[in-house]
Amino acid sequence: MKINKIIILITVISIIFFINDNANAIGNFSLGVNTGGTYDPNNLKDDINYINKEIEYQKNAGAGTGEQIDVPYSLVAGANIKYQFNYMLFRIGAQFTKPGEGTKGSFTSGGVKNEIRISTYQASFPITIGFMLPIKDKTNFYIGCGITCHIAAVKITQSNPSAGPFLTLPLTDRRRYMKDSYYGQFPGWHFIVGAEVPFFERYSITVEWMHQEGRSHPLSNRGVDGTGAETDAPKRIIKTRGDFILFGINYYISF
Amino acid sequence: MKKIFLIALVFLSAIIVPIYAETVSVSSGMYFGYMPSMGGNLDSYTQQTYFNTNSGVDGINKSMSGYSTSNIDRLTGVFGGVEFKAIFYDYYLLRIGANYGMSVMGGKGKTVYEDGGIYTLKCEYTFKEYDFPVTLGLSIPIWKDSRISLSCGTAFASAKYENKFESNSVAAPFATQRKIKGSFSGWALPLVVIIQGDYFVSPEVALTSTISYYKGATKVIKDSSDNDGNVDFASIDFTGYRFSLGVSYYFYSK
Repeated sequence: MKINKIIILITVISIIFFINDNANAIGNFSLGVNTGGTYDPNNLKDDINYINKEIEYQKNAGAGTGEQIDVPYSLVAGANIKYQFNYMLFRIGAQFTKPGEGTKGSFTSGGVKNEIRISTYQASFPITIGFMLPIKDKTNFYIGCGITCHIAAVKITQSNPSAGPFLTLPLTDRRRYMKDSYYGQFPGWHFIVGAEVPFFERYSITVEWMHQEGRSHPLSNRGVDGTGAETDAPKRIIKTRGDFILFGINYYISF
Repeated sequence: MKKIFLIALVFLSAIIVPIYAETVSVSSGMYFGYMPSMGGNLDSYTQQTYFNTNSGVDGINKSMSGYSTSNIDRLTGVFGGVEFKAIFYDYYLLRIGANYGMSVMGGKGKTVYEDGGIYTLKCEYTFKEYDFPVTLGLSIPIWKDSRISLSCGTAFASAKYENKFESNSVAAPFATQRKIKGSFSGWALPLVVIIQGDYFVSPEVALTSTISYYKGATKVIKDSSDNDGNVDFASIDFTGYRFSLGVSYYFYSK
């Protein structure tokens, strides 16, 4: 884990020095901040729908009442450093997303309520090399791709799994765990399409679409099963496949 | 969270698309195209519980010697739509569209499944949808007769997804009928990204080529076709790409 962090740090610092070193010669160097949205960070839709279908099935069978879990939309905040050299683009970014507290559902049977809560976050550090179509000053259309370093976590908790909705399964089944908790750092890749136009003298506005892919290695659980016993099973792969829409402002630096 | 997105969208509109813009060009257009993988994998509770697939149509294809099977593919759809675009201050784009699409290929075939014995299973899936995307972005003129646009936003999307299964089994879900059907109607607010190129054949008329990407799905919906002895549950998935060609008419410019 430490080696990964060192490699990432060295890579980022090297690229920043490379950019700084060459920025005096030619090209444009800019700093940007952006915000936007994403849907279903860390790909929890299948897990959520699996639980929701069981909630609806048990409700329909008269086993209890329940509320579905919404697949989360999530706000994204990020920053980036860009270096433009003729038709080439180098971009290092960082973005963070964490859905709000509304990612929860419940099932109640026999007067006992089980609240199912999902919390997750994702930090991504995309390093991009791309091509720009410069139209005029600070007016560009660009497309690029590169590697991404992901830090992601997923936690699913059930307050009282004995209340359902998975009533027919034993309490030691993973679908009735009181807590499933996973954390991982892993690489992935992305592509980005963006457009940029001038705003004020040194500023520009950007719109970007970033699609990313990534899969962790199998991660151990830091979980608690339905009987209250700690467990490290089952292993889980966090998938960061997803899309970000980003609106941003860039500031051009002159040296 | 959906409300926050809508409020943010309106807020952004208010900032970067002022209605008092000194320069504005407005166009309307129409287009036709196709949607691969319409409705995603078409997963449902019945398929998951009885037909041993947690990934819908992707996992339902199986074969066995002595049984005649045919491939069941994801749905391919066609769609048509109209759009209204306003470009303010040469760059800032507001686009509103209306689309209607339906599946025309795939989603039909025969497979086998195991439930104590081996049974044949005829499957048929259909999908219809309409949506109203609202996106904001940038539209950049390139060379003298082209324009390229990138815009992002959301859509109100509504769809009807149906599945039909027929088997020679007499166990659930075919205990009372050999044919069962699931019908699901619902709406969602998927995220939308649109990349569009305009090529002007005259100062007012442009040919357009568009790639759209939708991402989002409904909640799990209960089957409304409840006279077949089986109740199914499914989420309707709007995620996927759309490719289209069309024409735009720029009817106002100042």
